[in-house]
Amino acid sequence: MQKKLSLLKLTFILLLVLLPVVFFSWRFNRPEKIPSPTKKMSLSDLYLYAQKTKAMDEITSSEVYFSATKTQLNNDRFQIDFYLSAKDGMKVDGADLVLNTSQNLIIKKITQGQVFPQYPRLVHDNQNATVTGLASLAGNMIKLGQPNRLFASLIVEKVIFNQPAKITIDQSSTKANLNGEAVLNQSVSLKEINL
Amino acid sequence: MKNKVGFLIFVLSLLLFMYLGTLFAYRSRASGVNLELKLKLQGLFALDTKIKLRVDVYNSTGKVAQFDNVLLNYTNNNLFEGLVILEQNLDLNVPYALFIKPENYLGQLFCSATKSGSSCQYPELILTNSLNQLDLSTKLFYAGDLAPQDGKVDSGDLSTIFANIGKTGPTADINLDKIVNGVDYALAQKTLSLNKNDDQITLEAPVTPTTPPGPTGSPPTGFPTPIPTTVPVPTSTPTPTPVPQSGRGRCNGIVTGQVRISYLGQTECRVLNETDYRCVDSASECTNAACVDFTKTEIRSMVDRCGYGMATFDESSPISCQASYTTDPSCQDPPEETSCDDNSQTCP
Repeated sequence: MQKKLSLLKLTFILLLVLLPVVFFSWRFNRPEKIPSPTKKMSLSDLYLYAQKTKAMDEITSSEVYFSATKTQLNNDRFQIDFYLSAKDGMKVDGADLVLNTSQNLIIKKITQGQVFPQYPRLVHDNQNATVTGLASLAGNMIKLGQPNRLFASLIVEKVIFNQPAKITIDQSSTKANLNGEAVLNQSVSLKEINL
Repeated sequence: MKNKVGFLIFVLSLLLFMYLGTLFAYRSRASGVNLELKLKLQGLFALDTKIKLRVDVYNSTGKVAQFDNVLLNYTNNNLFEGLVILEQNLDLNVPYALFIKPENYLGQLFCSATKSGSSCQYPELILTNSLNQLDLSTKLFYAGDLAPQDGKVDSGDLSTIFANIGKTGPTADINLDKIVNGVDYALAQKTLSLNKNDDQITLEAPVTPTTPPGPTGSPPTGFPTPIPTTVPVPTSTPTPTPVPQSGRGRCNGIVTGQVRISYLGQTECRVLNETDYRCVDSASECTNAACVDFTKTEIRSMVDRCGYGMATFDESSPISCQASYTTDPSCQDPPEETSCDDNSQTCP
């Protein structure tokens, strides 16, 4: 009887000891989880979503390409107008145009066009230029880019006016996008301009 | 019997304490190097936000370790903190540099707590076996480099956010508020407008001080100035006297006008009417135009600091300044403004 009691006691003590051990092992060794995202759409978000869906529904075409015209302003100065072209009904939500010039050509000025409601990036140094046009979501109103308008204008100057010069479009960085997809047709799009 | 049970309880309790002690020890000090990181991220975050990041460890020869899926917890004021356990064996006798790349953000290279980006030329971080605290919150991490991360923010990243508007997945949810919306778009757009990229990693070996050759030794090849064999000892040490800079003075300005700040598509306008000063080296530096430029630089820096990358100062804001110069050889610049409190009046 006494032996039975001591065995019971021992089992009880063992359980008492083991339970916290198991609990603490589980508590401190379990991997930390990132809470799974849950839907939290405010009225404003819902309105923006509806605006986006509506804007996308109105688009019928699917591809765009860059083209350009050049105008000689004087002996060594040229104006290059870049256009984003497409079939009617096409719109874009963003585009990057990245240009490099040959050693004989210096970029003097770059100005934004009218394809996009905003051009947040318009940067250049002597030999490189980057222009980015984007759709606007200001005030939850979606305004997409409308092709077949001027995208950007570039003023360049030859260092030696009677020597050839070239503007190259960086094809890996030049892009046009719509709803997360690349819509620039690289095979048709402008690749270089000789001056 | 009683004694035996008592002994058993004692032994088991001892084992339990030893086991729990080991657990806690491992939790606070892992087998690797522990790094307590503090970062500042552009965005608007909820209190329970956790950000995932990658930490690459470099020494002067190249990358020696990479730690993925490191989690940091949001504390407040755009700050994230957490413990990174650098589990791989790192030689603690050499300095390191860390490249930190949060998910959906641009990465930054740190040679020390204060040297990052282009000023980070060689590894300077000395890691120890104890807890290493690294506060990198002086450098803001910019958002917008979405998966697949290519080290830059371009129209493709913005288009991905646009495509995910209204969705709940983490693909384009920069501020991790469980919805992709205009805030995420504005954050990436801000980074794009600043033309930011991942920091370039071009680390060199640390410059070690060279021991000058002794009097009999020949100077190494290319050593431009020979070390003199005898050093003249001055008979008395002259006390340096402060030399006032010629023309140094105080440029006082009465600044008036309006400050326009764009914030998430809305424009806020505040009345500007204050007096300020700065130290200049000559009276010619104290012009009305220079005062306006200086004021605009200060506003721009304040907007960058307090707007968390989501606010933009409208450079065409009408600001004028009436500058006046007074000679003051011991002029001290006013302390740098760190507060983000806004007590100014809104424009009429």
